[in-house]
Amino acid sequence: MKILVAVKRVIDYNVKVRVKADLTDVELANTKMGLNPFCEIAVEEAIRLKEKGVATEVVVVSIGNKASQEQLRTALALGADRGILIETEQVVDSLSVAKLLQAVVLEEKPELVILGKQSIDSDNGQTGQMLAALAGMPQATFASELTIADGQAIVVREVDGGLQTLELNLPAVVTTDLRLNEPRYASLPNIMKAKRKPLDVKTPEALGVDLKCYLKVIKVEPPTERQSGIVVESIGELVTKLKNEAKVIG
Amino acid sequence: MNQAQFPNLFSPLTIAGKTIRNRIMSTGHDTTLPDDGYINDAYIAYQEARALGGAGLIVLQVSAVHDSARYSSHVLMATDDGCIEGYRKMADTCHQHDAVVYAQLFHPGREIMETADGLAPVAYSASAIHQERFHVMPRTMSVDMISEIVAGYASAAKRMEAAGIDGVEIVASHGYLPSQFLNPCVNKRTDQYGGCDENRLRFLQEVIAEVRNATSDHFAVGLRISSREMDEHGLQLENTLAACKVLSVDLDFINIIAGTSATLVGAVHIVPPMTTDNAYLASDSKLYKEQLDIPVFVAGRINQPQEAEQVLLKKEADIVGMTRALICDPNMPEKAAAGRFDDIRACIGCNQACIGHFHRGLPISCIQHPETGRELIYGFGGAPKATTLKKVMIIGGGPAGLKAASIAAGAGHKVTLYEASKQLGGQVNIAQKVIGRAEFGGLATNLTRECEIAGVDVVRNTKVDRSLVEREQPDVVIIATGATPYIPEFENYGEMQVVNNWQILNEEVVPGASVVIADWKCDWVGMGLAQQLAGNGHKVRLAVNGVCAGELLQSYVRTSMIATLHRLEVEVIPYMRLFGCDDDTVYMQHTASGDAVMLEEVDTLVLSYGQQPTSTLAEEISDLAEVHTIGDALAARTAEEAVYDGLKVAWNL
Ligand SMILES: Cc1cc2nc3c(=O)[nH]c(=O)nc-3n(C[C@H](O)[C@H](O)[C@H](O)COP(=O)(O)O)c2cc1C
Ligand code: SF4
Repeated sequence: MKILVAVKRVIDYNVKVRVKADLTDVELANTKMGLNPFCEIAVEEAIRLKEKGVATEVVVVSIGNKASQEQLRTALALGADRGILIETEQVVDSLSVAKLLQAVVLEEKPELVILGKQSIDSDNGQTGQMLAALAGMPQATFASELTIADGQAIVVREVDGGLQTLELNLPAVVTTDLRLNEPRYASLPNIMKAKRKPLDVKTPEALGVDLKCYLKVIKVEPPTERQSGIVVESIGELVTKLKNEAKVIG
Repeated sequence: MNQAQFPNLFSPLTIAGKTIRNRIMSTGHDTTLPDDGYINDAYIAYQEARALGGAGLIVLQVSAVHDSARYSSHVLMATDDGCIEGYRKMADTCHQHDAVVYAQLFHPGREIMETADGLAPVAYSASAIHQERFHVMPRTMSVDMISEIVAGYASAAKRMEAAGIDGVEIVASHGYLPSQFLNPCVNKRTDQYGGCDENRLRFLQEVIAEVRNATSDHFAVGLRISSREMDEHGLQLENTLAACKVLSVDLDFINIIAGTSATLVGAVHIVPPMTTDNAYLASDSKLYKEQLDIPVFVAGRINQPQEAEQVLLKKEADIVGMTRALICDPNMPEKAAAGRFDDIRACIGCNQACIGHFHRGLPISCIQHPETGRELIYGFGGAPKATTLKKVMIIGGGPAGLKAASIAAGAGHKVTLYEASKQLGGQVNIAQKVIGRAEFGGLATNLTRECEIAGVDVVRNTKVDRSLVEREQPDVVIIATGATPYIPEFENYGEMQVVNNWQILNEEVVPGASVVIADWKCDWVGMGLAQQLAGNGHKVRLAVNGVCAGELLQSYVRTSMIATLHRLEVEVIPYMRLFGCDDDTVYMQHTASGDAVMLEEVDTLVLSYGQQPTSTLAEEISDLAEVHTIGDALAARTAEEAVYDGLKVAWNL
């Protein structure tokens, strides 16, 4: 069974994000970048399936500029077999990403596609769902447990108020939640080996995908700083303040 | 030939009524031989060797004048009358051999290097200004404490005179307490001891006056001072010269040196390493001599009588400190006087066993002359004549073999030294190719000469095997075949050029534009290669498997090399364990975090991993003779251990 995993280059989760002075975007220059944590979980899950003998090949794909090769190499060092970079300098929204992934799915014909449930930069949580729709595959999002048996994926999902178990026919799309697994660290021998694993670079044009963007970022602002609170003397004072100052009750 | 070759060096000089037979001085240097605060037999024997060898003036190592002056765990204490007996024995011994002997009166102020119990010290200085090199924060001295310390100088001097010592040198050099009072960057006092020049001079003036009061006119009182402390925050030449002009009216001599203990860059001048020019402070002492009416002494990398004679001839000083020259060869004055220049074992400025031992709390020695500091065991004049003479084959003409050969032959044994190549010296011949280490070659020159003097038969171009030993039928075989570069196992996936340090030193390979040096050894070789390659325009990253480059080096040697690497923009990366390389990337593991570190865009990986012995001869001939293995052939270490191995094995034949 072949598994395709999509990974994204984002600002490293340890870094405190700063907004650019002109409020057009977050600051990316001289900022440490890393693999999106949910994508890392997706890679880990695919590798575990391979180690169990369920999967035979793990292919990782990323969409972004040339530097995204670093994240593909990280995924390869974790244990993926080969990488594909769809290289573009353009800003791509979730739908474009889903279309590009669909093109890769058509070429690679994986039986399972695993993605992170969302990326920690744009936090959209849309790509997996859009890909499933475009490719006409069943989907299970927010997976916290994944088993493959008898040509089916059995997925436990975290939903409001509890857990839900789904059975999907393969090929299918699964997106990962935080509790699915704890990714390993790449070992030095594997980091060295990763550099010698195949990494194909393709272009959106070659895949025949038009990157028309339906979203426009108007302004990026840092959250307002939290004001320090005050201690009130009595319930009466509290109610008055909530009414007159905070204006949260009528 | 006789001492006429050095008319100035061997002309006597009288100071405070005592005549110093020549101009050769051993300056005060802490030997770490005394271990309980008092002068002991080991230290007396050490100085006796120098007095016997012809030194004119011996200045003893620092003596603390107050309980707060314990700057190391081994410092001599002159704070109670119990010390007098030791000084008396020392004075008698030096006088017996016609040397004049002074003692150093010492208070380090905030310069406390270590304490006997290893706990952080309570240090006192003119003001509470942090000390950089030892990370000491001192307390400000009260006026009462100042008076007590001034009195301490005086009573120490009095004890020394009572013991028969000829004079004292007040240590105002190297950023120690008197310099801390002089220095406006360290003295922030607002009382009578701080502020204007006059006030900052007051402490020293009181010390000198009290020492004078406590001693007679026949007792020399002088001052050691750094003409410049070689640091932005240290004393500068104008300050010290002006101060000494005022102070000199009450002094018998001024002894010029440089540097300060307070900072890394300043401390290099306490014992300047081999990259420092010979007699580099003579121009400073000349200025002093021109402006003062008392004798001026100077030291600093003067290691040959020819250099000393020049200093005197050019009227740059009246007495010449040749301290390491005498540590290395106590008989240097006598040999110079007899015109035996080639026999002088010149100090090479390696700093390894003299000040290097001091910093590790070990007794002083010399890598070229391990008998130094071990006089109670090895005496003053070579091995005693052997009662049964043996036929000795020594295999390998490196430092270990050469030393063993000269000692064994000196004891009367019939010694033949076999060298596989055409040149004696072994690894010294490679080590001296490291940039800035050319003088290291002196080790081979000196040891070779010692073999000649002792009458060793040398056979070159001869690799010894079992059949040769069978034919020669020696009583003893000493194997000193050295070692070859050690190549560690590591992952090598690609086509990167991988070479070892010797291949570069021997110019067997041409490294690429971007070089990573994997330096496990953390000695001068990796740093030297970095300097050489960066100087030749290569981009160099020095990845050391240690906390800093040159971790194993004596700190002054390390500081000066690190300064050079910094100027050459060599990137030093600490905590690096080599894991592997491929076509263009070197993979390292951070030894603290375990994380992977990738050094990219690399053309050449240089391995600096020291050596490993390879010879199997010892096992092959064990049935033919008494067999000893020494030096790197036993275990790859440094030249110091090799020479000492040679001494030990040959001494006990
Ligand atoms: C082992 C060692 C210890 C030293 N300790 C002292 C010391 O106690 N007091 C001092 O004034 N200088 C000390 N020095 C510095 C020497 O007096 C001298 O200035 C230095 O060795 C440079 O002279 P040279 O090049 O002739 O060796 C020490 C030097 C050495 C090698
Ligand atoms: S150890 Fe080195 S620097 Fe010290 S005296 Fe010997 S040769 Fe000179």
